[in-house]
Amino acid sequence: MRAYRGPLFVSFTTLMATLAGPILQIIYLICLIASDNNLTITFHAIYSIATILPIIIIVLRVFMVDSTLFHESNLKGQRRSPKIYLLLARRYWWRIFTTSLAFFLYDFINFPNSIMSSTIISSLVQDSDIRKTAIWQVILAVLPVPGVMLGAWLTNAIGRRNTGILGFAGYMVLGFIIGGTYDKLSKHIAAFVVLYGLLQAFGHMGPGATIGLISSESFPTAMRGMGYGIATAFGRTGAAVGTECFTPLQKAAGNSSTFYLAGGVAILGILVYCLLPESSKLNLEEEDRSLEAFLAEKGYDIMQE
Amino acid sequence: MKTRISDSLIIGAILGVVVLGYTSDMFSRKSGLLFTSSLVVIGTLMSTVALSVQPSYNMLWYFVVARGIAGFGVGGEYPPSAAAGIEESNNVRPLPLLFELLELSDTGCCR
Repeated sequence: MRAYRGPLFVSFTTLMATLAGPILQIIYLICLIASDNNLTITFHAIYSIATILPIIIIVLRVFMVDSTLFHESNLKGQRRSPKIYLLLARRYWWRIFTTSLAFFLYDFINFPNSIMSSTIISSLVQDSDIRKTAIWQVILAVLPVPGVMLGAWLTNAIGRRNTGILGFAGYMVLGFIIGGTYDKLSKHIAAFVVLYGLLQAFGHMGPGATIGLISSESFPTAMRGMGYGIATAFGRTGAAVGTECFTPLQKAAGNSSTFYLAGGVAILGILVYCLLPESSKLNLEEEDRSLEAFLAEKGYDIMQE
Repeated sequence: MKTRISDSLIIGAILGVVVLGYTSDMFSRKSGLLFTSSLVVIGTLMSTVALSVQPSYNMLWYFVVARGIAGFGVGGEYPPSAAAGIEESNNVRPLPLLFELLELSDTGCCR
C-alpha cells in the first residue's frame, strides 16, 4: 500500500482544503440569501457554524491513536541538549532550506491571489452587488478542485517534483496571459473567471498538492513535525509578505501588474522545485533507521525510551 | 485596524506552526491535534460574540485577540496533522481520513 502514499496524502489534505473553498462560499451565499443580505446575521451564522465543526473534529480525534512509525521512532526520551538539534540541522539543512523556500514562493503568490480575487471580482461585477460577487466566487472556487485531483494522480505518475514544476509552468503561462490581456478580459467577467480559475487550478495541481507532501516525506519521523513546521512557517511568512507586496503593487500599477508578478515568481518556483528531493522514492522506515544509526554514532540512542 | 485584525491571524498562525511542530515531535501528534482544535473552538466562539463588545474600539481589539487565538490553533493544526497524515498513509488504516476535515472551518475563520 506504500505506493499510494502520495495520492492518499494529497486527497485528504490539499483536496479537502480545496473542496472546503466552494462549500464555504456556498454556506456564505445561503446565509446571505436567507438573511436577505443582512451582514450582522450572516456574521453570527457563519461563526456559529465555524464553532460547531471543530467540536465534531475534537470528538473524532479523541479516538485517534498515534501512528506505528511515531511509536517506533521519536525523540521523546532524549536529553534535549542543543547538540541533538545541531546534529539534525546538520543532516537535513539542505532539505529544510529548499522546502522552506518552495513553500515561501508558493504562498507568496497563492495567498494574495486568493484574497485579491474577491476585490477584483467585485470591481468587475456591475454595481458591486455582494450576492452576484459571491456567486462568481463559488464558480471560481470550484475550478481548482479537479486540478487537485489531477495533481494527486500525477504525484505518482510523473513524480512529485515534476508535478510541481508542471503546475508552476502553467501558473507562469496563465499569469502572463491574464496580465497581458487584462484590459479585454475585464470586460468579460465569465472569460476572466474561467482563466483565473484555470490559473488557480494549475497552482493547486502542482505546488499546492506537492509542497506539503514533499516537506512531510523529506524528514524522518523523529523530526517530521519540526521540519514540516519550519517549512510551513516560511510559507505563512510568504503569505504575509506577499500580501504586503501585492496590495501596493495593485494600487500603484493596476490589476494586470499583479499577474505579471505572479508569473515571474512562478519561474523562481520552477527553479526551486528542481532542487527538491524526489520524495516518492524515499522509504520512510529506512530513513528512520538510518537516522537512528547516525544519532547512535554520536552518542544518542533513540531506539529505546 | 483592518490590517491589524488580519495580521493577528497570520502572526498567530506562524507562532502556532513553529510551537506545535516542536511539541508534536516531542510529545505526541494526538495531544497536539486535540490542543489546537480546542484553541480553534475557543477563538471562533470568542469571535462569534465579538459584535456585542462595545464600544467599537474595544470590539476591534477584542477581535484582534480572538483571531490571534484562532490563528494559533489553525497554524498549529498543520504540523501534527501532516506528520500523522503521511505516517498513516504510509501504512494505511481507515480511521484518520477525517483529520483534515477541519480545514473546512480553518478557511472559515481565515476570511
